[in-house]
Amino acid sequence: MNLRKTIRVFVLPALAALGALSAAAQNPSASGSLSVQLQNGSGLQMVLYSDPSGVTLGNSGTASASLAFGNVSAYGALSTNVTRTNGTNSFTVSTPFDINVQVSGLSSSSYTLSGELSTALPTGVTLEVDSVSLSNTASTPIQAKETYGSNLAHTLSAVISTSASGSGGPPTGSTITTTINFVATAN
Amino acid sequence: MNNWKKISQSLLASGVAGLLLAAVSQAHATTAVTASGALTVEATVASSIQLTFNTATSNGVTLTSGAGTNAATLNFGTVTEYGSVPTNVAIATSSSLCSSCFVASTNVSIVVNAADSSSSGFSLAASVSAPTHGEVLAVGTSGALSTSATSPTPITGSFTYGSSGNALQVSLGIPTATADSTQMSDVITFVATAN
Repeated sequence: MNLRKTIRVFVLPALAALGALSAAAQNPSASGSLSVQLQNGSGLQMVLYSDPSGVTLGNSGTASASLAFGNVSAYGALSTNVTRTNGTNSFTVSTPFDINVQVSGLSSSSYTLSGELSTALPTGVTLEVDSVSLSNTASTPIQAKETYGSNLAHTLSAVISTSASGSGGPPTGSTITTTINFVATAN
Repeated sequence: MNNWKKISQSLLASGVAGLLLAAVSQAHATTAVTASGALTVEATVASSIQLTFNTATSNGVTLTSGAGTNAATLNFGTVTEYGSVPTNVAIATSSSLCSSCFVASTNVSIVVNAADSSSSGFSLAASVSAPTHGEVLAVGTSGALSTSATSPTPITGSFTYGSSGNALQVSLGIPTATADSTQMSDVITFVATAN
């Protein structure tokens, strides 16, 4: 009997018997497979923050914040972190604030920032972000290629006529309120 | 024949599917991904006025410093009752401003600007820090200025807003007994109040 025949006749049956014995000694089992699926939704998130050099925002760290310039005038005292430049027929008060836009599930590397006012401003007052004048009739592009993931400083400015109220100037002594609705659009 | 029918049906089906996929893909490509945020802005506009000094265009000593600001310096230079007179300084050897004194005078321009105000004019008042050498100061025809900052002396006149300014005479009454080389330094504080 050659070696191949010996293996076929004696060794293989022995191994088979051992395998069967081993299987009989284990606990019974059952198996199943769970297919896990998800669709990774892509999106952006915008958060507004106080800038270290700017007016402290109300609700900083959210998508709905507030910024109070306080009393503004051409020659009087201003609130902390509000700066002023005087022009011929107007003055401008400014303060920085931060916008942070996070991206998820997109290959986009930048976004476009635009803004629109919720309401019309009184005569003699315009609002600017980064020197771009905003309106309440259309969304206006402010920055074309902003980067994600970090606090980016923007300058909010109010340009105010020095003319008297009723002669092209704004009303005095009453609080002017409007909301800038910002939109970040993935490029 | 059946094979051709199956093939054409298959092609038609895959064509429709392809069109649907293209449409879905196109729709996905044109849907902008956005995020939004709202910043509510508040401000209260207040009326204000500003007072600055300039060298008077007529009979005025050139301001040594601070022209165009609200803290300027006017230097009469060396004045004597009978000696040479600095440019744009007038000397009077007698005056109702003071007795036993002589008076040096020059003009200064006071510029007051108003913003967001319907005011058409303003009143002016001035006071002086306590003189230390017996000198007396006056603005215009005010007479000796008050040394009380809380009760400044009204300055008589009709003043107007604007960069052209209002020329006012500043007078310094110097006792004739003042020692030679005495240096006088006084601060006149002006207050403009919108009418």
